[in-house]
Amino acid sequence: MNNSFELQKSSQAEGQPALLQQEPRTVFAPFTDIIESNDHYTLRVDMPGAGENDVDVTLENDILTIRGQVHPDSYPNGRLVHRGYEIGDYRRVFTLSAEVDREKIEAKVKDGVLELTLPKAEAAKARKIAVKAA
Amino acid sequence: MLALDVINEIDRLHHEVNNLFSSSSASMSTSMAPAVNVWFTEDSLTMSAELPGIDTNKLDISVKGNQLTIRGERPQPELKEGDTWLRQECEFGPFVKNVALPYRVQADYVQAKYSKGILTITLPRAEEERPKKIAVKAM
Repeated sequence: MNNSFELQKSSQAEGQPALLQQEPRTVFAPFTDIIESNDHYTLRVDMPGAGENDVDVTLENDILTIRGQVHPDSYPNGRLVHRGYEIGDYRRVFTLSAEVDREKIEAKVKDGVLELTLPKAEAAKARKIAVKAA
Repeated sequence: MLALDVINEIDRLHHEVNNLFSSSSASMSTSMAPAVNVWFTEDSLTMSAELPGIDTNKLDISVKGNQLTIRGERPQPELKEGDTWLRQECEFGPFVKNVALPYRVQADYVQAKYSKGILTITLPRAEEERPKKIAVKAM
């Protein structure tokens, strides 16, 4: 989970283990699957630790920005003895093509996964063309 | 030169500690083994893993002696006719994580929570293995 890497300071709550206080906040580019269907695109973005209130999806001109914030409810008691993975926020940016109908984009978050449905604008939908005998 | 030696030593120690927590089944199967973070107190051990989108019905957590095993699956997304992958980065399928614990735990009191794609397991240390304070009396 280290595609892009920016360090940001964050304010940490009281009472956390000393090891985790005042750590600069890492930002990851979340893994994303993109599937194209006949009449829409589906984006599946893995952001474990982010719930629906922690996820922000913004579209400005053609730029789609996805952000996820991770606020652990409480740091577990005790001292961290093994760090298998780093905890941080998420951010990824995509450029949309003209095919996407911007008004009808839908976003759902479940179990740390953001699912975005981007319907294609009418003109871009795949059309079957009837083939007639000449 | 000296600084590099110190870094190598720390690295080696780091790897040894990591080996305690790496999956022993990774070499035997092609399933994933999620990375975990581990916290210790005197009385318990807490472990967290990032497991977005898993099927909680298929999640199996078992403790035997001082070995913890987590099994589960992230279901493959179904592609309908006419669908194509444009980008594939997420991991799907079954996963197994075996963790050798540093002490025996009370299996009946193990707690697990799955929220926002993060699995958190708390394992209380077995009574007989907790450090006991020894009172020192004045002579």
